[in-house]
Amino acid sequence: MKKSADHFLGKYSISIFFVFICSIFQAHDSYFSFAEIEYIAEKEKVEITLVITAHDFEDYLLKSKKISSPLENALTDSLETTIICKEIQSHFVLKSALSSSNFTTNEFNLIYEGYQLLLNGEIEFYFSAVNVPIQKGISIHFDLMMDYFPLQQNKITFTYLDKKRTCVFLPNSRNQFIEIN
Amino acid sequence: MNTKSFLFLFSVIVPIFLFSQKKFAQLDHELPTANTYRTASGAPGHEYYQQKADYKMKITIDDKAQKLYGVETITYTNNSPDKLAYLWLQLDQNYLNQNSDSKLIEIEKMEDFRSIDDIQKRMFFYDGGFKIEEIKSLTGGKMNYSINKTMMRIDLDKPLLPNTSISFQISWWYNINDRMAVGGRSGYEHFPKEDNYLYTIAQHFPRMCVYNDVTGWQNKQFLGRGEFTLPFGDYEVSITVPADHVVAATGECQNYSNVLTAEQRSRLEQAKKSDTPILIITQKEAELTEKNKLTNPKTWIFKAVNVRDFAFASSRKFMWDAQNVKIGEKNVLCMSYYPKEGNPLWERYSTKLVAHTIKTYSKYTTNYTYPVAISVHSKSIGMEYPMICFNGGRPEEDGTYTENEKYGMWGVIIHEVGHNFFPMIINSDERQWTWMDEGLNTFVQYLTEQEWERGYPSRRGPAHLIADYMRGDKKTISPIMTNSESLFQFGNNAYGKPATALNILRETIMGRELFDFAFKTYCERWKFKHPSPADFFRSMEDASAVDLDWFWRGWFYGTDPVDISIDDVKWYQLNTQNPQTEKGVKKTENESKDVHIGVERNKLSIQQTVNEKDNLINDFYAKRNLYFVDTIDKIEYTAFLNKIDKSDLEFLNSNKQFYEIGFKNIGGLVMPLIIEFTFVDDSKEVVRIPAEIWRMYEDQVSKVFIFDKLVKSIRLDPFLETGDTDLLNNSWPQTAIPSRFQLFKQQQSVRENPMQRNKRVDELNKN
Repeated sequence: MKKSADHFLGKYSISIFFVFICSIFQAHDSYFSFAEIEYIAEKEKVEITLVITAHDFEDYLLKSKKISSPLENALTDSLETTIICKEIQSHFVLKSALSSSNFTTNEFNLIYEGYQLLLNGEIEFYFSAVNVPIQKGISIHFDLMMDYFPLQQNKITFTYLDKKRTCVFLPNSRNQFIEIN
Repeated sequence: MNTKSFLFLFSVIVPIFLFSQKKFAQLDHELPTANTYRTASGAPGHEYYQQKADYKMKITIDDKAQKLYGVETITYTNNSPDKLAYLWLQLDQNYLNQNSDSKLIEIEKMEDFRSIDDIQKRMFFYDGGFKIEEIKSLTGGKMNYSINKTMMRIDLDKPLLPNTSISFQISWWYNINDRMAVGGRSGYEHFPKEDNYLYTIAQHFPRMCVYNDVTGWQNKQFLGRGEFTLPFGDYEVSITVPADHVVAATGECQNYSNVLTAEQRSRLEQAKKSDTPILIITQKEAELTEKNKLTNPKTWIFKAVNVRDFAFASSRKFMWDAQNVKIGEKNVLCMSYYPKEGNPLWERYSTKLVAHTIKTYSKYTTNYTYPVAISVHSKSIGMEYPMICFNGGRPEEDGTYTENEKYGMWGVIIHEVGHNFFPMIINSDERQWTWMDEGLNTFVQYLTEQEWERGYPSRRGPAHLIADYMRGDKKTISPIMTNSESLFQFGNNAYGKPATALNILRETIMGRELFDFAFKTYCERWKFKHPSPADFFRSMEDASAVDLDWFWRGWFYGTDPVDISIDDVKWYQLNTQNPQTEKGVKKTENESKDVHIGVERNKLSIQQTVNEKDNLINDFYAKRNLYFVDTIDKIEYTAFLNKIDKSDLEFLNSNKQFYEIGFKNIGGLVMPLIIEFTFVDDSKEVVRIPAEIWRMYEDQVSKVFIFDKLVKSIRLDPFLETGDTDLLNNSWPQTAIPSRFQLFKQQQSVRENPMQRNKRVDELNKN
């Protein structure tokens, strides 16, 4: 199988896990996650709340073998919590940027602050990042669960100096740039 | 007026008129023209008709090979005024064919194949789909048919005339899908520990399509999301399964005397008189049955009258409990079937939830008239059929469960049992409009949850819960009035947004009394019939005398979010004309004005100015007292008093406070203005202004409010009624709203699965 004349499938890294997608039949899946990001300029600090449908996220983590017990139990285990945080951090990346194509190479170092499981079926993860001066804007990569749920849609609301901006992330647009002037 | 000036005026007035009518224009162009089948009031017309499809079916489950065999006789009655040259049937199982459209239309990229298992998943083979063996008339003659993916056309020798029927027989079989591997709304779950199967079977037989005045034949292909559009009919179904299986199905069992023990029948009779659940098969009995597997067959017979579908569940693992609930004059037997894996949650809650749901829905919609209502435990999914539904909510293996799991199970049972009303009784076209069943059902689910437990943490319904979804790029949001298969964000769009919209109508736009009457009117009009969106929109207006076209336009046809801001606040007081008062006010105002820093510093650095040293510098203007009430002021005021009425004078002295508030419609979706004023004495007043305030100017409006007291602060949408997506611009003076992060930091606490923690405490205490 060829990607193009000189790109073979073998070039892709193969990780062994077993996933069946039966998600389209689960009429009550949400495929939506949302991040509330607030930039506190005077402290050069970012405070983030990630709101995810717990059922979707658990389904994703369990079936991709990233955790071995239900989400709520996994979050009582420090090792599994670390794995979950790493998973989030690899799909939710913030960088200071001058433009949509010109951003610093250093990602914001997101510090995990905790989580809260809401009784309406949502789970909120809290992160912060300090010493993150923002120049012209912020570049955000947010494709959590998109490789697993083709219908996944993620949104963020970025608040800076009491002004809100919202961006939408889809499987074909996983990066967004927000100018903060 | 000459032609030129008329044209000029016309060219100016018409655009203004059209502009102002954009959001409040009537839905004349969007809704179909009323006719004798469906009236402009939203009710069925005097020539309304619907087809009937009756089924006699024999089903056999092969528990060794997980295959289903069926033979059915369909009697189809043409109540339409049209001659039908052919009949269309639905072959929904065919969407699990290896080359089905539902698989072909999935968008894929090479990035989706990053592991061996991704590739295995893509190449996974399951021989799904109907294997049609024969279609023949009742006299034995073979009938011509043609299969187009999930649809099958039977060609008739001669057209089926109005008010005539045709009967024919179909034989088929298919491989039942492993629901946990292949997915699907129905199928089987295998329990490897004791090698048992739990079957939840549906879409298992060729089903008639709907033919009506709206779509003709509704034969749109089944692609996996837009569910089912089915005619009503009567069913007689025999189901042959291993002798130790227990079968739950749509309708009433006709041969309990053959399939149940005397003890079980006695318990069932007891349950029919009980208003709390009675166990017909206990956990101990079910556990014993699942160990000793019988292979000889037993046949269960069910009858269901005036239903749009038939489904059943079968397993030797089932526990079974039941209770009675009275709806109007009718007794309804509420039942639950579940394996031990569902306990302790299922035995404790399922049947009580079924009873509560049909009781509450009957209050808000129309009375439940079927004889039974059943909830079957089926891991991971929630799926609905007439009188029976398959529901998730499985505790952990150690028997504990999280609070979230409990609410998840409660929610799914209420939702799926609620589907008995939408679309099983109020039988909308699911293939075309998901919101007509899912949206309306999610709305009544919310009402039902709130009557189950005060403060129930409902996932959908309250307006503020949709705000995160509705903000942002509108290209990624579909109008609710979008075909089921083309919706972005199925859950938010087909479930959440319509449920929110109806909640807003009930709580904010129409009020509970008007809304409840209109909603019930729609349900009563269209029970056991096929409503369309226009029938719903028109009925809600017809029964309430509220013009809701702007609301349907904004919420159902549009994608704008709600974001209304307080743009500016101006404060005015009446001029009393009394110089003593007015000059005093002026003095206070001037003295409290901000002063430039240089003025303050000069007070210290300049010891004496020239005019302070030299008296001759200050002339009349420098010496006059602007706030002194002189004789002319007094004479003028006396003259004013002589002219003015006593009541007007009292009004002028009443100290009324005037506030002109500017509102901006940033989001685009027009909504009522709900404004809370907090006064200096901390008392509050809420003013509600209908959405029609935006009817001429959709972007910006202002309104004057008059109070006896000074206003300290103003809040827009204080009860979170409108789904406003940005609350930061809703207050004056601007108030900081804590982010979720800040709230978390304020209430941070240690969490643990409380039941597991309790278990640990018990164990420690024992030791």
